[in-house]
Amino acid sequence: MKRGHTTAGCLAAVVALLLPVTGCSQPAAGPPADLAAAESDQPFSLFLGDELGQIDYAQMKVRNKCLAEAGYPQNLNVMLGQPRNPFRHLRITEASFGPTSEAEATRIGFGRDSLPAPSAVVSFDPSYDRAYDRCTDTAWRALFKDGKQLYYNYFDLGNKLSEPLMPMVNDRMDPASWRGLLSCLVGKGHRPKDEAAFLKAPTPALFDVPVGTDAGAGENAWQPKGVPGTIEVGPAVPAREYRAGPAESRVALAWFQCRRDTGVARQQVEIAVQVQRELVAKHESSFIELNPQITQLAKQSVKLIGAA
Amino acid sequence: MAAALAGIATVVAGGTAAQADKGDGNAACNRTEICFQFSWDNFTTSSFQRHFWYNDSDHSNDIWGNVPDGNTSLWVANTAGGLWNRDSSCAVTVYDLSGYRTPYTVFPRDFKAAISARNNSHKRCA
Repeated sequence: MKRGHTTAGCLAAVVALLLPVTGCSQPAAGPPADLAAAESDQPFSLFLGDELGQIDYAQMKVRNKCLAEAGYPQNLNVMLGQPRNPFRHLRITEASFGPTSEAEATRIGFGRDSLPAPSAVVSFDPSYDRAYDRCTDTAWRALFKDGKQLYYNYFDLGNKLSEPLMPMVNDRMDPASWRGLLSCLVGKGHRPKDEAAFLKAPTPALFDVPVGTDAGAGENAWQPKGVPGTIEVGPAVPAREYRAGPAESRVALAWFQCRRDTGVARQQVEIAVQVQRELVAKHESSFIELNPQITQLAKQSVKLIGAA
Repeated sequence: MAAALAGIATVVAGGTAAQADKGDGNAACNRTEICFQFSWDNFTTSSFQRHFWYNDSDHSNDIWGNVPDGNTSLWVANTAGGLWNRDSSCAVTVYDLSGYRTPYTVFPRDFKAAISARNNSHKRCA
């Protein structure tokens, strides 16, 4: 496969986006997967989440332009202004396990700040649905004829890393550490409602404080008119800064202090590094196969939307 | 599936009021909806599904919809067997815990598959 030929073919397809597209051939191989990352303290850095986000964004932008040309500009109007890595949570740090300072614990409790998200585009129009299918296929073929399957395969790899990570870390923690954490919390006046459950898998949900309250009442209360033959656009989701309530703040502060003072926080990160290495080793062949293709497809994606 | 569920039906009790977002309210999983399914069958049937257009931080106050006669519904939390992400703009992240804590799996756009029954919240474009 000639890299230059492939890129030129894809760009030609974009220029002729609304014409029948014959499809781009397999992307030329990018650099081989750098397996040395597995020996770092961030083994999951081998996973190319930013590149996956770039591919997603380019495909969606080409699709949305196609929809706009077909008379449906709604998706193009609401889409985010830049790519977003859908697997940011694979960057495992101390923050993956909870607040990292007393100030943060007090402010955010057990909640999470949220990034903005686009409005929901809601279809009651079969013509839109047909255009959506056609434009989706057109956009994938403009990028790379097998790009959709590669994109799904890489999501699958990300999930094979994401799904077992936290259960494996929890299982490998020294039970004495959980007992120390429990003793510390009780010493500060916070006793879980089920100590046995806490010692199996400590979670803030075992304390009677509201956690993770959703501030999204605005968009969740939205109801479209649902007129057949129409497209409706719901409210955009703004960035939100979570603010814990007083009870949640108190428990979260104690939780942070006890994780720090008993060494649980350090142990979790250390075990997480080891678990990441094992999961990378388990899926090494997938990284070797997919990473070069994802790297190259991401480069083509940048050129694609630059030319579109 | 109805017969299978009849034997394990649980009376829905507790929890808080379910949120208003139920997608278009129809039984089938339609374009632009985020659809959970109790028993994975590649969405060839439409019973025991729960649809959304937006996020939900707590699946423990949602019950499965389109429940056939003779069955009692269940809470959605930790009982989903399949997901079809038909959102037109976002991948959907499913969390092991409520409040968007412990990201578990991420579903790309236009994708459906079986999932492990570990779902307590979900978010678009997380």
